[in-house]
Amino acid sequence: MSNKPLYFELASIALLLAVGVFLLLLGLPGWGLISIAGLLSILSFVLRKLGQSSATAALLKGKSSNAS
Amino acid sequence: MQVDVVAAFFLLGALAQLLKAPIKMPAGLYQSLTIFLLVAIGLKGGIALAQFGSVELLWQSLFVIGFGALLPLFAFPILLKLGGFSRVDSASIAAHYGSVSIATFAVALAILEAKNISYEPYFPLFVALLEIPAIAVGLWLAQGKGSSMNLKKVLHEIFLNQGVLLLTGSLLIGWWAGAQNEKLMPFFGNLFYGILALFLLEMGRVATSRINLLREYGSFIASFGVIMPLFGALLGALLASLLGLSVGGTILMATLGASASYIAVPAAMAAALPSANQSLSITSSLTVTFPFNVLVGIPLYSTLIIEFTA
Repeated sequence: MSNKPLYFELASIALLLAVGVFLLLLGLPGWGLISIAGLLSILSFVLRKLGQSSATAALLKGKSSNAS
Repeated sequence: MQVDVVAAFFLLGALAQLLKAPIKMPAGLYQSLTIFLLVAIGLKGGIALAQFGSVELLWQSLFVIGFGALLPLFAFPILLKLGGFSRVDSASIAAHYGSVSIATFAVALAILEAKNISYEPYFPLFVALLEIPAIAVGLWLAQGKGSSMNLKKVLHEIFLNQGVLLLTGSLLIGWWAGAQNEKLMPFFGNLFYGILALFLLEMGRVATSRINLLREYGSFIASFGVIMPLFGALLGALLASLLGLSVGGTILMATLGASASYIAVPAAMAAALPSANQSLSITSSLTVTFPFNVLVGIPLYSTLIIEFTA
C-alpha cells in the first residue's frame, strides 16, 4: 500500500508546527496552528491504529473460520 | 487567541452536540437562516455597488473569477495523486475548495466590523462570482470518468443555485432600490449578527455530528482540510495585494480563498457527478475547514495581514 497519504499528513503537521513556532517567535499568535498540528497528529495515529486493529481482527476471524 | 462573539456560538453548538444535549432547531430554520444571510449580504453589497461601482471593479471581477478557477487546479492533483481518491471524488472535493462559504465570509465581515476595519463594500459581488467558476472547473476535471452530465441540469445548478441566485438577485435589488433600501435595513441590517450567531449555533451542531465520518474517510482528508485553506488564504492575500485592495479587503479575499463551499457546490455536484461521494466532500468542507477557518484561520489571517501591511 502506498504511503503517500501518510507523507502528506506528516508534511502538513510539520508545516503547521514550523509556521506556528515561527509566528510565536515573532510575537504573533501561533498557538492555533500548533494546537491543530497536535490534533492532526493524534487523529492520524489513532485512526491508523484503529485501522490496524480492525484489519488484524478480520484476519484472525478469517483464520479461525478456516480452521473450523 | 480571542474567539469572536459570533464564533463562540459555533463552539456552543459543537459542545452541545458532543455532550448530546438536546438543542432542537425547528425544521427548516437552518435553511431560513441561510436565506437571510445570503439576502442580507447581497443587499449590503448592492447598496455599496450603487455608490462605488467603477470600471476598475470590472477588472477586479475578472481576476476574482480567475482565482476561483485556479484553486481547484491546485487541490485536484493533491487529492488524486497523494490522497489516492478517485478522479471524480478528487474533482468534486476540489470544486468545493475553489468555491466559497457564505457563513465563513459572514464571520469575517463580523470580525472586521467589530474591529472597525474598513473594506471594499462591494465584496458580496466577489462572493457571488466565486461561487461559479470552481464548479465549472470541477466538472471539467472530472470529465469522462464516471460523470453522466445532463448539460441543461448542470448549467441550471451552476448559475441558478440558491447561493448564486439569492446573492446576485439581492445585490441587483440593493443596487437598483437606492433610498428604498432603508425600508429593509432594520431587518436585514440590524439583525445580521444575531441571525449569524443562531446560524453558527446550528453549524456547530451539524459539523460535530459528522465527526465520526472522519474515521471512515481517514485522516488524510483532515490534513487536506487544514492545509488547503491556508494555501487558499495565501493566494487570496497575494491577489488582493495585486489588486491594491485595502487591509480589510485583503482579509476578506484571504478568507474567501480559504473557505470551502458546503451549500452551492454539493447541490451542483450531486446533479452533475452523481457517482461522486458527496458525504466525503461535505465532511471535509463542513467538519474540518469551516471550524478551522472560524476558530483559527480568520483570526490568524487578520492578525498577519494587519501586522505585515502596517
